[in-house]
Amino acid sequence: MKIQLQFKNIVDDPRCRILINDQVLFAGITQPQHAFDVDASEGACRLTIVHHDKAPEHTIVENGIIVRDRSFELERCVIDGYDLQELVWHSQFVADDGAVYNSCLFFGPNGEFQLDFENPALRWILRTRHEKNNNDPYWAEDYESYVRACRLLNKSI
Amino acid sequence: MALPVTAQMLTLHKQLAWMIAARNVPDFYQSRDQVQHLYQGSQAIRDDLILHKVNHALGRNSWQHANNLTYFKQDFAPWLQEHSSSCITGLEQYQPNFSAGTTQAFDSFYFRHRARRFRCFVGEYFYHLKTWLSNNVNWSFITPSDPLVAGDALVISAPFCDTGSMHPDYDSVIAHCNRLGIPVLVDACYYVISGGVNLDVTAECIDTVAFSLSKAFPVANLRIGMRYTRTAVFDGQSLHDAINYNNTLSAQVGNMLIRNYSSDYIYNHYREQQLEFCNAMEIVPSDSVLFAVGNNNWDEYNRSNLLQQYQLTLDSALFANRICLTSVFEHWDLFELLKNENTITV
Repeated sequence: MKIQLQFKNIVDDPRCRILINDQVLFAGITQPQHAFDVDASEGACRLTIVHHDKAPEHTIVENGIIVRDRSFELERCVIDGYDLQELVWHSQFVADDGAVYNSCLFFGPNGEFQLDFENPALRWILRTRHEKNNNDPYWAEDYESYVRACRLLNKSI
Repeated sequence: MALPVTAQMLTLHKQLAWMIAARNVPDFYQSRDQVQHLYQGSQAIRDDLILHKVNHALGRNSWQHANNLTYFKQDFAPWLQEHSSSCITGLEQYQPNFSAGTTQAFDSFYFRHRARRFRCFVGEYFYHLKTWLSNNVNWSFITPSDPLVAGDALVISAPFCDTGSMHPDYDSVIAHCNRLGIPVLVDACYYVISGGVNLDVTAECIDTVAFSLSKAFPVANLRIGMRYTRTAVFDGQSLHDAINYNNTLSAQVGNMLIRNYSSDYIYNHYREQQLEFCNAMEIVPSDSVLFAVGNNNWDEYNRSNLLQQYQLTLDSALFANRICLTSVFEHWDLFELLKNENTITV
């Protein structure tokens, strides 16, 4: 499984760990782009992005206003070449203090972003979009046809 | 030739479409889009050797020669007549003009007969319908309750656009038009992809016969065609022709094509494959080698997408399920592979 992550508004070298299930893919200073080739089995997967090592001094407040804050934002998540687009909002951020923020792509406090999906991602994307929008009744048939075609062509999905 | 009918076979054409699309484009969504349109339209086969020759001709930098047009005009009718299984009777009665595909000939015909009511059969080329509808032209389909009458002008494709084979009523309709003095445009753009066609254009009512190379060769964007009109016609298109004010580059490529490939080349080259595919899919081969006519299993490949593209609000059920085989010919190895996968014998 190929995963590409794109971050924006990266302020003051925030530290993160990126995991698929329990497999750590990256640990270090958050970069604008990350790309991974992951050996993941079929079925349920969780993408976790942990924001850590942020200390109180990383937030500078003047006159009650935050003027600088170590943080970053997730801009784009692409799995196996498919941009999750709106599906990236089907996620949550669990802060270290226990607060849960649904659909939060902003990494301000320490805590972890969690996105549950399935491998193969394309199948999950099609099914989830149809469940949400009810506009793609033939998604399963089309997906099976595509997979079979790719298999016969020796092409990755 | 045994052809076991299985449930799997019913979707073989669909699986082939997915394979062709998955080979052509990188992801699922683009593949799905291509699958939906794969058997539609009427584009020429993108044969690598022909494309190479076209590119070579374009690179020769001899497009300025006005003789390109003269030669093309002079050689086109003899080229047509060399067809080994089809023939045209009466074309010598007409004067030739270079034409930007058949389309320029259509526009000239519409304008010359603008005072008449335009008529065509259901299934005719959508360009006519689009032009007439968008310009508030008086027109209607030919139906039993609304037959051709004096004062009409008829456009008919031969072979017929809806199926790629001759319209079953072609002869009787032409005879009827002759009796009533109804001018006729014969759109023969499928002639050079067809076989076994006897096209008689001797009737006096036929005012224009139009041909194009766009269906036979991958040069649609070069707009290479010929228009044949009665000698009394001298319109804007004739004028441009008379003063060599036409596309010499297109004529140059046209000359190269008709010198290198006979008018039956495409038909003869792909006919066997067309028959094999149609046999495997249980669809009816057209006289035009690029087409077949499918039954209800092929409804999803009807012309609803094209109607949408032309912004025409006509019921797609009015039209035959004309299947375009161009992509199949271009990816014949995939058909072979799938055939073996499904153990189909043909």
